Amino acid sequence: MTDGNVGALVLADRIHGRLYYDPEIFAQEQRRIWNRVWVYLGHESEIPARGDYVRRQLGLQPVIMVRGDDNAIRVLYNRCRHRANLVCHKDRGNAAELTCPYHGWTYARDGRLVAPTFGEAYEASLRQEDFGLTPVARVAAYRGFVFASATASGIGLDEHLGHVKPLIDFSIDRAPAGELELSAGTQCVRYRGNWKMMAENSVENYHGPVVHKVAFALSDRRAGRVRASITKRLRDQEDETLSFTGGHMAEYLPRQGSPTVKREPSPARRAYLDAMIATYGEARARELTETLPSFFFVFPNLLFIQTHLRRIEPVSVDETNVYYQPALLKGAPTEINDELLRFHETSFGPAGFVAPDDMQIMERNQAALRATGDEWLFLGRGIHREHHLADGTVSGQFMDETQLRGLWRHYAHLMATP
Amino acid sequence: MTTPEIEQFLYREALLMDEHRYEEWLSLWTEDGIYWVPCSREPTDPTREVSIIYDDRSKLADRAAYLETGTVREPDSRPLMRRVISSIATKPVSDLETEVTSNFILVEARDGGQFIWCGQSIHRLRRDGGDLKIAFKKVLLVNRSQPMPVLQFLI
Repeated sequence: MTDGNVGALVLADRIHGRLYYDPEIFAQEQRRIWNRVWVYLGHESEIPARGDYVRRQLGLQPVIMVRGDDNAIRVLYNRCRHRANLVCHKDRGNAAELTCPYHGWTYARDGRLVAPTFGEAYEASLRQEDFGLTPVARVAAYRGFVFASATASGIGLDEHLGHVKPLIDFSIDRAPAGELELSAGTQCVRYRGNWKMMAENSVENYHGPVVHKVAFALSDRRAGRVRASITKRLRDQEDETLSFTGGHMAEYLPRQGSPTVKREPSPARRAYLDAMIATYGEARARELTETLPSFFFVFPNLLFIQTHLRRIEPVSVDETNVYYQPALLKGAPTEINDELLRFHETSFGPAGFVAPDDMQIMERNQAALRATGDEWLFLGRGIHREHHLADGTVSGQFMDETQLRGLWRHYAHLMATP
Repeated sequence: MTTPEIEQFLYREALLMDEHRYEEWLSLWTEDGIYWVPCSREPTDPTREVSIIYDDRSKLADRAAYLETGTVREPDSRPLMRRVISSIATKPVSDLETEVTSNFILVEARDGGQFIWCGQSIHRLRRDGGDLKIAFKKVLLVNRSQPMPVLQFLI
């Protein structure tokens, strides 16, 4: 696959099917996307204590995110410097030291080599400081969200997040303590489809009323909610889909006219509102609690979907893992976070009423791509009426495909950059 | 509750699940029934941690309605499945209730592929008039903490 070819596969209003099934393109993505850009790895609340670690992947590369004795979070390649065994083989844990199970080389929580086993057999010139676990080139965090980049040079995390930051802030500020907690566990799903489908499907509203009709009706009934009619929302012609520079995407939910039927708040809800007002003041607290947070995607692998996060992990060109983690609101009454979990389970994970349908649709998507009579996927919805803003943001209307076109523009740019 | 009666109940429940007979399956539950399928390796408190399924009776009814009409899968393309139940052990917990543990292997065929599911079920069965009912059911899938395919059927 040459650079020119990838460029030819992404046009203004259509993309080529090979982008989802060609193993050479998948390999190129590892080099030019996953091993280059800022990739979301995890949240600080997942490793709250010194010595806590989780295993993660940077693209296909195994890494460890670990909290050191100095309380700093490091990201180290999960590969023993002796003969390349996985140093950590459990998904998560707490360790005084990280010991390779193969020949017992032992590393401190910051990755320093403490001692090779039976070390007297090595030459005196062996320098322990040359054999620490290799750190990933760059690590940075934004409000608890830890990102890493395998490339030493490039834009900083702040610049990468750019215009998506206010959306991240909005999601986090819904917690009275101004922090999210990913302490309630993880649902893991694997689907037989390309990783990019998950990014597209998660922030694309057009399929919702078709794929999720019954699920939405059940969920609205349970919440005592009246959903704004689709025809009305289409008629309102408000811009609701956004493409940001850097390949980030958002579906901005309507800020006015919360669809929730007004009810007397429960004591827990009242306590939550009071805590929010105490932190943020009346006006901001109202904005944060009366508006649903957006659905948005932080390129290349993090999704904020109202009350939970999704981490996308490529497995192969046609297999992908998705990790669903409810984002608890720190400082909120326990009842509010319990409700959040129940709301989450109803829709998401392997047996929710929403996510499995998306998974099956994506698997059928992958199957249909084998029909190569005409290989183009059409992404032209709303292209004639989107607005290009001075800061690089492009905004489109409800159910338009503006955000998807933005994703692919950025993708093509990265894939064409050696 | 006798062991044969309990065994017949489990076999009946398995049949209804295998054949996607959601409403009949729903009638096996008590009004205060709880259905829990955890996703953590060492599940502790389902109210404080996320699960694959944690349903009360009203959510069970929603689940039956969703599986009946709400999925992208038409009724005539639902997975074909059969499960085998074994290692049934019972432990009375009160005059009216017995805890039953059992293992299952389930083979699901759909979309040109075959999927194998395995786990342990823990039922708490309650005598309700002449019938047995499920007051609580926990399913510990062996792959619960690993990436898994979608689970759009009754487990």
